[in-house]
Amino acid sequence: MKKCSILFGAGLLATFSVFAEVDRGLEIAKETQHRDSGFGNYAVLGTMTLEGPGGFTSERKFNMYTIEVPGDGDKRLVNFLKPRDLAGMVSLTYSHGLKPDDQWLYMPALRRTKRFAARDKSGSFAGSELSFEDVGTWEVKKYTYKYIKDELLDGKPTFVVENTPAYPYSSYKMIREWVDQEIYHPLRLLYHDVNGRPLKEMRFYDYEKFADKYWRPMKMVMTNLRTGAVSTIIWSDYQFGADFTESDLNPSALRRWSK
Amino acid sequence: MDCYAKWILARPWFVFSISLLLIFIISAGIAGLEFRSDARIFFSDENPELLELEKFEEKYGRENTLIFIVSAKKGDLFTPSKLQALTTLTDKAWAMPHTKRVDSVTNFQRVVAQGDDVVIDHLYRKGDEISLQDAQTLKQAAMQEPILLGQLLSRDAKVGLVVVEFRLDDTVQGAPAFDLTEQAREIIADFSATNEELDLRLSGSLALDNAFGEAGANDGALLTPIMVTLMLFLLWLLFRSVWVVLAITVIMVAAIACGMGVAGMLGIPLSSPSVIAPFIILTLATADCIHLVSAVSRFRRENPDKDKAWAIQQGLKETIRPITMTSLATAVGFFSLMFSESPPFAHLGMIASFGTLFAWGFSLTLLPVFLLLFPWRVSQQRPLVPESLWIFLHGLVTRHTNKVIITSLVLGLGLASLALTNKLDDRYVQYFDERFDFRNDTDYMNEHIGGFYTINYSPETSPDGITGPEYLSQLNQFSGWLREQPEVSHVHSLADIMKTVNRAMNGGDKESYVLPTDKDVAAQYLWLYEMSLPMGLGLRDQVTVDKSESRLTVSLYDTSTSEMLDLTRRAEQWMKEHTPLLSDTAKATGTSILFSYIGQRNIDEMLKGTLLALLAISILLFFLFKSFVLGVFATLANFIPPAAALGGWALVVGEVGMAVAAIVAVTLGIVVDDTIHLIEALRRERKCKDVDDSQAILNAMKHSGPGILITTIVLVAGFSCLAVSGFQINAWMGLMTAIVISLALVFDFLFLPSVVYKTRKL
Repeated sequence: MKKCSILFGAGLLATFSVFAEVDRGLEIAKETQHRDSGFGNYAVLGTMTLEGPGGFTSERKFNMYTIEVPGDGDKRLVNFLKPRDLAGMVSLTYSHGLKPDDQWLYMPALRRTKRFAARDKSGSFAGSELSFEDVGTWEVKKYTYKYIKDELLDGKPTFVVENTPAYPYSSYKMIREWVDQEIYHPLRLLYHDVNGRPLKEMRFYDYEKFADKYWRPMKMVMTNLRTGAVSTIIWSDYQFGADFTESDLNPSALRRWSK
Repeated sequence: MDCYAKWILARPWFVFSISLLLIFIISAGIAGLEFRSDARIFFSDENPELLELEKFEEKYGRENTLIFIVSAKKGDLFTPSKLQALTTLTDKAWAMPHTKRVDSVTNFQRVVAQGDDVVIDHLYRKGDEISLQDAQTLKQAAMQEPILLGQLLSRDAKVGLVVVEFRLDDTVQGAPAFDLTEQAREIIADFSATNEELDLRLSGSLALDNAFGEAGANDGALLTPIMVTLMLFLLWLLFRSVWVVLAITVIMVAAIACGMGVAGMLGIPLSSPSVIAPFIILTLATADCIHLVSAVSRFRRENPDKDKAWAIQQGLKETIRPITMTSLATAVGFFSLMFSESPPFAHLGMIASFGTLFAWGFSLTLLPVFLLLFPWRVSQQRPLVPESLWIFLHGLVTRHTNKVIITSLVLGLGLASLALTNKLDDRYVQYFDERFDFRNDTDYMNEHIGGFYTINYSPETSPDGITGPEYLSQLNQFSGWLREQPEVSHVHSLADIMKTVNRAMNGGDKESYVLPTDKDVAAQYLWLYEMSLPMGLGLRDQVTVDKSESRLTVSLYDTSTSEMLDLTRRAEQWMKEHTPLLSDTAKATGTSILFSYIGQRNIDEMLKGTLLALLAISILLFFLFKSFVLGVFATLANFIPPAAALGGWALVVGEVGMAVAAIVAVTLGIVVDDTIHLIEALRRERKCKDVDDSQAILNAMKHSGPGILITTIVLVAGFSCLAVSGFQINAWMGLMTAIVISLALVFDFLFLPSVVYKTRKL
């Protein structure tokens, strides 16, 4: 009986697969969202190494605080620690699916918080190959999804999904995502520019489980496929349920974060 | 010599088969030939300016650009429809393959103060609805942007640029400069078909590379029919025999194919200057053949009772020595181009000298065999050159000996003394004449906005030091000084970015367009700016990753290389006195700088090559004359014509480019041919017949004069053909060589015989 229903299910899946790619993609996204919701907040320390052309390298260090806002986009604060001239700067982003994000930057040398508005969210995150769009928190409604196929990536079964940004000023036409079938988190993202050509590739490594539920990568590597420049982020000290609230992630509170 | 001639004439089919086999094997090397149109082929791997530029490119990336020059047919660019069209063009540019960055008037990142916020956004974004009034307000705003104005937008707002940068690494297949230029032209054609308000033109470094390629292809397409027709016509005129023309044509083709084949085997690339090598080989091979066929014809005409083989044998015997000597001299001359600092000239020299040697080889093996096998008839027409000419020349030489010697020396040396008054100058856009779109479009750009020629600096400081107040202030001062220079159309440096951000951070008023005074403030401005720029328009090509160096770009109007050198020297001096923090590490670099130094460098190196060639050729002449005095005069007779031609050039044109360095070496090897033929003839006449000096000179002129005159005409005609090339380097080289050869003829027919007559040293 059980066997029968599996067979039936598989047959049904095959029949509908042609029509159901879009739904299937959305389902995967929703599953990801579902599995990762409810964390409240978390803090993490990032160490980012940039390798540019000509062999120049540079290091950045920052604390990142993320708070879950059910219904709207999440809020994310980044407190930069390194290098010296970046230390003390704090950025705060309220991500909104289809509207431009709200973004503030606290500049300690001026003791001022400036809201900076850019319709592209493609500004470089601390001079790295990641843009603010890339480090922004993910939400289901930011993209439309299309399931492509199952594929093995480094021996792990993944769903390959094409995410098309719904935001009109996105710097990407499409992001091809390899979703780990076990933990429903991305293992690889291939960013395509507005002309549909591969531009950047992000790889996620060493997922670990925190607070019994939430998988987070310990290392991310972004490669600019055009320039060969590489930005590597090592994540450490993940803290779920950390000691900060929504009122701390407020433009007027940025000065307090600055060290 | 007799033995040799007998030997090959005894087994013509053997010689024929072996030659044919050799030709097939060697010419197979042609498959290995590649054409390089990249402007960098003009510089050797060790060129110090190139090394400096490569260091710069490691930090900021190599600039491979195409520039769309957009101009409004009426009014300025700031109307809603024109701005919209500009965004369309910008998007189309982005969609080209291998794009790294596109900068245009519309996607210029304007930093604006809005209340207490800072907005960084495109000057005009596609799809945004604006009125004419709004557009004109944008124009006013654009006029306040020193980074934009004069760089991407002309000061009258009528001309704008869309600068497309490409990343072309080794993985890019085919000929990207050609493909991308082609695509850009298609974009322009499509665009022009639907838009009646804007004119589009195309320039940039890839358009330059493409123009070098086009120059090579055009020369091939234009010169081949002209040259081939001309040579065949001259040959027909001379020999009136299809068989002879056919035989010589085969020799020409074989010499070219083998010369190019060896080049292919050795991995010598073709480039726009060396593409003329086949034409040079063609001309020289024709000259070799004419000498032999003329001699054989003469023997046949004068000895109708003897058979053809005998005539060929006699002809060979007479010409084998001069043909060998002249070919060696010509090959030595070309080979001395190896000293050139600029590889294309070295390549040209090598290919031409291989070709010369093959022409020599085939004209002494295959040609006699053809003459034996082909059923050709000697034309019985009257000689092309009337004998009265030789009698007249002989009269001048024997009756006015001193006058002839002194007049030629005074005139020749007088002109030669002007040679150094030529101004060494190059405008590499003007290598291409008005037949090239690249030339016209780039001239337009240089006239209306400037910026085709650029100079870059990358002053160094400590890591994260570029936001230090002293560094920024000196950058600012240096930029300010540069802007006052008449050659400069625009200066872009980090200081301008800082002032722009400072203005926006302080409410946007004009007074705050100044540098921040605090290092931390400056550093944080830079972060704010960097984090706000959209992808692809970041600071990667402005500052190094570790922020220890920033780039300062100077755009120029139409500027010659000597003016550019002068500007960089003035800048160096000024920096030493006023901005010591920059002066140690700020070195001018860029393609323009490469071309600025190559002329002088080429002349310096070629001077050595020319001296060596001169030495080799004078040794040859001493050996031929077996007299020191005559050797000296013969050397003079060959050295004065190129020097005098340069002097004449100084009077008429006044400007020489990098190609000129090669002229003396190239022509020396060719003009000495006439001297050798003449000396050989004089010695022959003096030795064999019982005549006095005067009669020997007349006989030599009568017998060998026509051959010398005709080959000279062939050479002059051949090199003059090059003058129709649209590529200045080739045109000038051809023209100059033709002039030198003509002058040398005068020296060979008047000066040398007079000296011989005077010194009686035969």
